[in-house]
Amino acid sequence: MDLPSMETMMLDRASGLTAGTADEVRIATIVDGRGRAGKTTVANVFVQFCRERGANLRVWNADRQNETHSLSVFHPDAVRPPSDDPDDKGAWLEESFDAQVRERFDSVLDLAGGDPLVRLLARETELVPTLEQHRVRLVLWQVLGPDVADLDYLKLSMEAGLFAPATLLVLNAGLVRSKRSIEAVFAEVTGHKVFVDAVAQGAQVVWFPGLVCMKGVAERGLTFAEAKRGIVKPGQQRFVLFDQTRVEIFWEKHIPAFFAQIPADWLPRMADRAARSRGGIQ
Amino acid sequence: MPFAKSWARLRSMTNGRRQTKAILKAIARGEDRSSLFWWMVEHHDEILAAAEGRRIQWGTFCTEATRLGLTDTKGKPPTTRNARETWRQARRAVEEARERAMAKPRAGRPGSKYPSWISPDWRPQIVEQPRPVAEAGSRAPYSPVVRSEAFSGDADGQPRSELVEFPTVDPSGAPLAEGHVFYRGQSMLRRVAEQLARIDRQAREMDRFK
Repeated sequence: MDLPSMETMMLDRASGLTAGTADEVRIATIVDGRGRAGKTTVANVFVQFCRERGANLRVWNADRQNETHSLSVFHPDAVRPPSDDPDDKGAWLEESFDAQVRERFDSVLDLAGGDPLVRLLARETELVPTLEQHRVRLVLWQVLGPDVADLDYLKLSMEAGLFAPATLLVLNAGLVRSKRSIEAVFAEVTGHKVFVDAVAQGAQVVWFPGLVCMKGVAERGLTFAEAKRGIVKPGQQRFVLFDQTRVEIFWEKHIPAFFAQIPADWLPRMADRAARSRGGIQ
Repeated sequence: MPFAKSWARLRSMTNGRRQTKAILKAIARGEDRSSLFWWMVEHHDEILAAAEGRRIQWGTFCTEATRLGLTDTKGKPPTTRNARETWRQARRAVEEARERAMAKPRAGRPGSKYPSWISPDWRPQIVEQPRPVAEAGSRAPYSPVVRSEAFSGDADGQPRSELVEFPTVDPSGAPLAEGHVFYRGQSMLRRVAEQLARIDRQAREMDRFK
C-alpha cells in the first residue's frame, strides 16, 4: 500500500468518527467573553449543531465556575482540566492542543468568563501561527452582550495576539429581553472603537439568535433536538406547545441561518456542508 | 418687499420643518429614545452649525439641556458622557434617514402633488456630470456615492442581497481617502461599512418581529 497516495482514515478514539486526512486543516474554536455574556449557551449550540452534522468534535470545558449549566451537563464526554490551578490548566491546554495536532480532530474550548488561560498561552507561544504551521486553525468566537465592558475581553484578545483573522464577533441578541430594540441596546457596543477596529482587522460579525425559553431547555438538560420533539425526562414538566414550536423554529431555521453566515473554513468539517444552511440532518 | 421676505422665510422654515418631519418619520420610534435624543435629531443641523467644526463643550451643553428640561432615558438630567453618546446616536440616525430618503424617488412622479407656490410645470435643473474615461493605471472617476451590494439574512435564513449607498465625501463635501466611505458619522473602509450596515439591517429586521 502506498499510504501517501491514499486517504488516511483515522479513528478518533473519543467519538469513533473518522478524522479525515492528516493534511486537512482542523479547527480549534475558542469561545471567549465576559461572564454572563452567554458563552456556554453559544458553545452548547455549536457542539450540538456540528455533531448533528457528523463533525468529529472534542469538547474542552475549562469553565469550572459554571456547574449547573456547564457544557459537561449536556456533553458528558467533555474533557476538563484537572483543577483550577493556572499551571495545571496551562499544561492541560498545551497537551490538548498537542493531541489535536497529532490525532487530527476539531475542538471547541469553553472558557470561564475572563479566564486568561488562552491569552497567556498565546503570548508565550505565538499560539495562532504555531498551530497554523501544524494545520490547526484557531478560530476565536468572542461572545458579546450589550454592555461596553464586554469589549474589554475583545481588546485583551487583540493585544495577546489571539486576534487572528479568524475571529467571530458573536452579538448575543438573546440577552435583549422583552420588546427592547436590539439595535438600540447594542448600539454602544457596535459603535465602539474597539468593535469597529476589530471589524477593520478582519473580524466577522454575526447575531446569535435569541430563544425565549432557552432557560427552560437548559434547566431540563435537553438537547434542542429533544426539546423540539417535546421529549420529557422523568420528573420534568412537559414543554408548553408554543415553547416547543419556538425551539423548533430556533433549531430548524434561525441556527442554520446563523451558521450559514460563518465562513466555511472557520467551522469544523461536517459530513455535509450544505446541511449547515438547511435544517436537515444528513 | 416685506411680504416676499417673510414668505421666503416662512417657506424656508416650512421646508426645513418638512424635511425635519420626514427625517423624524424615517427614524423608528423606539421606547429607548430619550427627549434629549429627539431634541438633537430635530436640531441636528443647527447643532452642527453652532459647533462650527469645533468640539462641543458638553458641560455647557448639559447645563443648557437641563434648563430646557431634556433628560436621558431614565428621566434624569443628561451627563456629559450620556450627551456625547446620545449625540453620536442622533447623528447616525439622521444620516441613515437621509440616506434612505436619497434612495427614494423624488417628486416628479406621475400623479404627485406640488405645493401651491410651486408651478406644476417646474422641474429641477439636471446637470450632467462629465464622466471621464479612466486610463489604465489611473484612479477611478470620482463619485460622491458608492454603491455596495450587501447580503444579509432574513428571519427565514434566506440570504437577501440589496444595494447600499455610502457617501464617499464627508459632511463638508471633502472627498475621503480611496476605499473609504462615510458611515455612522465617521470615515471607514468600505468593507467595514458594509459589514456594519449589514448588522444594523439585521438588527432592525429582528426588531420588526419583536
